[in-house]
This record gives sequence, C-alpha cells and structure tokens, in this order.
Amino acid sequence: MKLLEVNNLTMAFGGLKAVNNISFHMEEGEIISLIGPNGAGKTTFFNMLTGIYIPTEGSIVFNGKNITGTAPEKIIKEGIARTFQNIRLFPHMTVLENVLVGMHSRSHNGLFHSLFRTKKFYQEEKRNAYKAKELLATVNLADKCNEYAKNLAYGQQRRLEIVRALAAQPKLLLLDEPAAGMNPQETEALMKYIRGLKDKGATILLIEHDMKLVMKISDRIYVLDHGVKIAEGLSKDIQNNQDVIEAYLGKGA
Amino acid sequence: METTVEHVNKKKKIIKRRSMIYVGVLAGLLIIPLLSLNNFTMRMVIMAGTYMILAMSLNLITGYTGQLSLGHAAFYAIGAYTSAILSMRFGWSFLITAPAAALMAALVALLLGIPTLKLQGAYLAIVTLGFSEIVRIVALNWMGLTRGPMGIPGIARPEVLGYRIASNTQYYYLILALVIITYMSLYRIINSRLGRAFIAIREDDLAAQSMGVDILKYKILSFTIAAFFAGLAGSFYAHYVTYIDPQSFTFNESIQVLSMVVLGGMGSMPGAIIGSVILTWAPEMLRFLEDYRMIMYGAILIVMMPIRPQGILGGIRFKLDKEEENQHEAVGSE
Repeated sequence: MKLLEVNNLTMAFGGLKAVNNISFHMEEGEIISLIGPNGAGKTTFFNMLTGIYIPTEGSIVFNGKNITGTAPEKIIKEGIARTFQNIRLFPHMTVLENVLVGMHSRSHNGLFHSLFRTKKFYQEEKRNAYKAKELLATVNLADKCNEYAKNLAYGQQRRLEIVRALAAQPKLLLLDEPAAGMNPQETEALMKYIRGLKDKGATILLIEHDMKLVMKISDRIYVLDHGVKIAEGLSKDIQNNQDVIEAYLGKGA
Repeated sequence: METTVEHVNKKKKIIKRRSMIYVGVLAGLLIIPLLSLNNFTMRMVIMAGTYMILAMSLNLITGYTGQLSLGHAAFYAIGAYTSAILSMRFGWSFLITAPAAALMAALVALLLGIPTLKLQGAYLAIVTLGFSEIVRIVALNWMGLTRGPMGIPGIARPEVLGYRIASNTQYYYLILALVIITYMSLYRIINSRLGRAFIAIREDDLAAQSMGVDILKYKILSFTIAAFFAGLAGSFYAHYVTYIDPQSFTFNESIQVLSMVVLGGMGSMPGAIIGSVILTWAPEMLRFLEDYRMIMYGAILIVMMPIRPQGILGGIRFKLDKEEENQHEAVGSE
C-alpha cells in the first residue's frame, strides 16, 4: 500500500527553484534514501514533508490524506516524525525529558490534570516514562536518563534524536543525515539499528551522504541534483547511472 | 532490576524525606512573626512575599518559556486596580476580588497574547513594554474609573473566613498562603507535559514544533498563567497598602522583577524566590551608603552577570528533584 505520494512538488525561493517538479512515492515498510550533492534540495524536500515550508506547487498525500501545507505540529499527529541535519535536541532538558517531549502529540495531560495531580495525570506520566525508558534502552541510553542532553557525546545525541522522533510513534520516519560525523563503527551500529526498525515494520526516508550505508540499507534510492530528480531505482542501477556519476564527480569522470 | 517491593519502599522513603523537608521549611516560615520583628522589618518581609509571586510568575514566561516580557508590572497594575475598584464600588471582599483580579489580568494577557506572541525576542519585549506604558497611562487618565494621579485611597482590608486582616502578622500569613499557592501551582505546571512543552519552546522552538507542540498556543498559555499570578499579587498589594496610584506600576517595577528573576536564575523556582528576597532587601541593607546605594545596587547586578550569568541558582538541579527523576527510572526498569 502506498504510504506517501508526492506529486510534482516545487519549492521556489524567489527565482530559485530549490526543489523542482519532483514526484515520489513510498510503500509501507520501505527504506528509501534521498541522495545528491550539497544544495541539491534534499533538506528542502524534508521541510516540505514536515510542514516547515509550504510548497509553491504540487501535493503531498500521506496515508490517503492530502497534507500539503499542514502545520508542523499537526504533521506529527498524521504520523510523520523527523530528525534534523544539525542536531536539534533540547540541550538543557534531560535525556528522558527530551523523549517525553517526543510523546507530546500522543499524550493529553493539560492544565487541569497537571494542577490537581489527578489519577489520570500519574497514569499518563508513568506510562510515558516507562515507554521512554524502553525506547532509550534500544539505543543504549537507558543509564543516561537524568543527564542533560547537551552533555551527551555526539553519537549519543544523534541516537537520542532518533529515539525522540520514534517516541511519537510515527508511520514514517525521516532521518536527515543520521550518520553525519559518526565514525565507521558508529555508522555500522546505526545501520544495524535502522535495519532493526525496518524489521519491526517501520517506514524510513533517509537523507545520507555515506554511500556505503545508503547502498547497503536502501530498498530504493532517489537522486536529486539542483532540485531536479535525476535518477531513481535500486542501488546497483544508481551506482552505474551516468547522470549520477556526473552530478557527483563532474563531466568526463 | 529492582523488585516491586524494593521500588515501593524506595518511593515511600523519598516521599517521607520530601514531606519532612517541606514540613521543616513551613514550620520555619510559620514562626517568623513570633520573632517579634519590628513593623518595618515585617513590612519588608511581606513585600518580599509579594515580589516572590511576581518573580515566580515572570519566571514562567521568561525563564521557562524563554519569552522576554518587559511588561509584568502591567498585569500587577490590572490586578491591583481591578481589586481596588471592585472593593470600593461593590464592597466585595478580598476572597472575591482576588480571584477576580487574577482572572482579569489573565484575560487581558490572553487578548494581548493572541496577536503579539507570534513575535520573538526584542520585538516581544518592545510590545510588552509598550503595553505596560498604555496600562499606566490609562490608569493615569481615566479619572472616572481610577481617579488618575490622585489614586484610590482607603481600600478595604481583607476579610478571610470572618477574620479581618489588619496587623502585619495577619498579612504575613495571608501572603505566605498566597506564595505557597503560587509556588505549588507553578511547580506542578512546570513539572508536567505542559511545563516540558514550555521549556522545549525555550530550548528550540522549531524542534518543539516538529514534536507536535503548538508553539503559539503554549506561549499564550504560559503568558496567561504568568499574568494570572501577577494579578493576584496586585490584588494583595492593593488590599495591603490600601492605597494605589499609577506611580506604583511603572516600567521600573517590571525591570525590578525581571532583575530578581535574572539574579536568582532564569528557569529556577527557588532562584526566583532568592532573587526577590535579595533585591527587596538590598536597597535597605545598603542604606548606610546613602546616596551611593542605588549605584551599589546596580553594581551587584553588573558584577553578578559575568561571574554567574545563569543566576545564583540557574542550572542547578536539586537532590530532591533528582530523586524524583530516579523514581521515573525505577518505574521504567520494572
């Protein structure tokens, strides 16, 4: 079943078309990678999917519903959660609190229940803390619960950001360069982790520059350059595609 | 892995220690009037309590939610005038005028917040500053309602459950009750899903939004709650001093409260309390310096900032809070 369908999406900033007429689709349970040189429009594409930018043209249909132009705080309720290229945690909140904010869209305690510390308040807080701990254990951060997020090592911060997104129980997870700045061992571990998510049925859209990771993990790959889709297909097709080689290495390579 | 029994025991122990500390602090606060302090000192203690409410509430919007407001005195004024007018015109007692004053301040904050809280940083600061000037000028010129510069004298002393509050000791217990109500309410709000949303907005509003936090809604909520308690403080002030005029609610007052929050530590509840105590007392303690005392007052703030920019208690997590967090952990590892 088609989970995500993007039709003729364009994002223009003045005269510059950062993303130009891109169509795209994802099936449930797939891992798809979006690659391309710097400035190709990958992050802009993510920002449109998550409502941060409103596309100039085109439509985004998610889970059978047109979500074009929906505000970011509502997108996550529809089931799309993301991480950021330059890590955006809440630095002065604890690791646990970061994940609890990730559950914001799935929890309900408001002013009344918080002020009067009702039974419902404690039930939800306990349930969320339990779930958050479970999630943190999957990325070896269980013992860091009370640590400020800013005190984590770089790789741990990356993992925390993924877990924070997963806390929203998304149907589609967008990862923006999760392996950036990681060493080969960390990247290897990340790959295993992403595979594990897929085995549990997650659908993942990945922006990544680490080609080894991309080639090993992706079901399909889309290649962007200057805002235009220049190729799509399976890993081995992409590797030998003349346009892709040119985009990365220049003509005559 | 802990067993359930151990876990329950641990929890009981923490709750016991927690309540012991609270009981100790409360006992200490309750006996202050028995120390037979002179009238002047008692007045200072009571005013410090009023500033605690103002500083704690400003801390919610500025320290926790990260939205700089320079107009907290406006809500203090609205609370004071609402209370005074209701009391003078309709003879309502404090138990009715106080909630009415708080609600009025909250309502005005809500109406102001909806169009303006989209603004950030310096822009929001300017808007709140401008708004507080508007409130002061309206109070100064709306003769029919506020008696303008003549102010409103002879505001009735509060009557609570048949007790007429008149002596400093009685006022002390009243402000203590109000401070405790404010502290508990704000503590509970901050340590909940709501508070986490506020702090997330301060930390990174785009990330917060991407996690489903409706930024505008939560900023308005935080602003409205902050104004509610500022209004409550205003109501107490009116019924305590029994005379109000626009001079009591100038821009200086907003800056004074903001200094308390910054000095004590933005985003720290005990910090706001300590900040208000220090800055209520500093001008009096420095009185021996005569003409130089306001210079010293400024100097304290200037010296403080490079040494400890996060404020006295900013960024400190108390052991009690940590224990509560560990409790979460224990729950999670069952």
